[in-house]
Amino acid sequence: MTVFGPGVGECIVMHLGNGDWIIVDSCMLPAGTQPVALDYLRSIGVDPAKSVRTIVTTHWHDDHIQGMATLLRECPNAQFVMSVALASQQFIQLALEVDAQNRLVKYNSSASEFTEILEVLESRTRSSYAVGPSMYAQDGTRIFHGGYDSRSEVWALSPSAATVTNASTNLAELLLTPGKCRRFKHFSPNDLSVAILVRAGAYDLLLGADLENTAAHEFGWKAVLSSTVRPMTQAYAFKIAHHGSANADHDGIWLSMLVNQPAVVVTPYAKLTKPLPRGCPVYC
Amino acid sequence: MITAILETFSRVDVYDANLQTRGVRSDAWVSPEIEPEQRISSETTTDRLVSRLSNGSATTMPGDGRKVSEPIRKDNLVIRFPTDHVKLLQQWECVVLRVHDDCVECEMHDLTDDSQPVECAELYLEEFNSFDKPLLCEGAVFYWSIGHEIKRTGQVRRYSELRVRRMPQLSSLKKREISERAKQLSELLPSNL
Repeated sequence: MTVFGPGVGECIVMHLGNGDWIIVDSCMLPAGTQPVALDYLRSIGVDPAKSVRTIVTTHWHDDHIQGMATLLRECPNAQFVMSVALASQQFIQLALEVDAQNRLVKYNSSASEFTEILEVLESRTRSSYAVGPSMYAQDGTRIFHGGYDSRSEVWALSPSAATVTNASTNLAELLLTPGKCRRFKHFSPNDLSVAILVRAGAYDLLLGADLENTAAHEFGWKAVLSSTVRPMTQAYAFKIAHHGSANADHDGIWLSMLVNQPAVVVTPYAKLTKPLPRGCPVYC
Repeated sequence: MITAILETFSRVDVYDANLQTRGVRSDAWVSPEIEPEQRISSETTTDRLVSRLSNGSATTMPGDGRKVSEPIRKDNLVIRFPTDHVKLLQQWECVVLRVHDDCVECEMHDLTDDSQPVECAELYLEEFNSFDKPLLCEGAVFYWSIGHEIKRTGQVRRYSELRVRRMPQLSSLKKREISERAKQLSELLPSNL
């Protein structure tokens, strides 16, 4: 597993055996020329067009989605996975509206990236059905099965059913900024984020995405911990959720989802006046 | 006395615009009459020309020193008055991330240099125009321009401007188009639901 965290942005690239690669989220190189995942894979001699099997976007925030459309275009054989909470015509319409309204602005929001993703997926479609199946992730969904001896699995641990229901009724309010200049919120709730469990042979990896710990038991990490459909296993490595933010931590993760003294990694988020992670660290 | 620089096809004629200039106007033509002794050489600078206008006479500055007596079409005359102007040094397109009581937190994209990384800043609300402040909310776009303001007298002063972008609303026709497009795309993406 290779984790990229250039200060703004996050991308995880994993080899699951047998030449099968999976990419979770996307960010750009500091110079902004191409997605970091493509640059990395090509630098180690891997052809993304042939070897990338699955691309997951955990949520729509700018720092996790930049360059995703380019990734999809360069990996035509990869299935695309995103949160089921966004599996609606309403979300597509919101993304298209925000993109149309922000055409006059040079640096567009993540809505434009989503619009481009949809166009890439559309271009894959022949006749009236999709050629490369897309998949929506939610609690208990197995989003990949393959790798060496077909023993590798990737599971989505979120969003929970309650989160999906809540999003279906409040999507615009959740996603969009108020006022006339509509953009996807920079700091919208991360309940819709897709946390992932990777089972690769003897080692399991927990990728926390930007999932947060909310007060309600039906959302966020509380919902993951109380889930009855996720694999009950303990991971050896943990990509700490939400850039080490204190509101994404839950003791239950460390006690029941991770082995004693797991390997941990955190990607920073510098695009704040008080960058993450902060002075109050998450203790392992 | 108003001093204007008239730019014609191939020469610059300096006229004193007050009525002491002896000129014959007929329809679209201006025919200046110039005394031979007021002819000047080609090396005469504009500054020296201005100083010689104090007696209200009209002078010309042809490259070859010849007397200018040809009629000049009015629609060929361009009158330029020296004005204050701004030299832009740097400009950012900024997106508001958060609005606090006295400042806004924003991310900044350098419009003058694409190679620069995205930066984050806090700007005091008092720096914004009063008519722009109501528009400041999460997602609002504004432009921050800095440069030099150069007065016509030659004085240079640094300037900084914050201007909020007014975004046009989508028309109902456009919204209908988007709605149909969204329906089309959602039908093409199968779901495992």
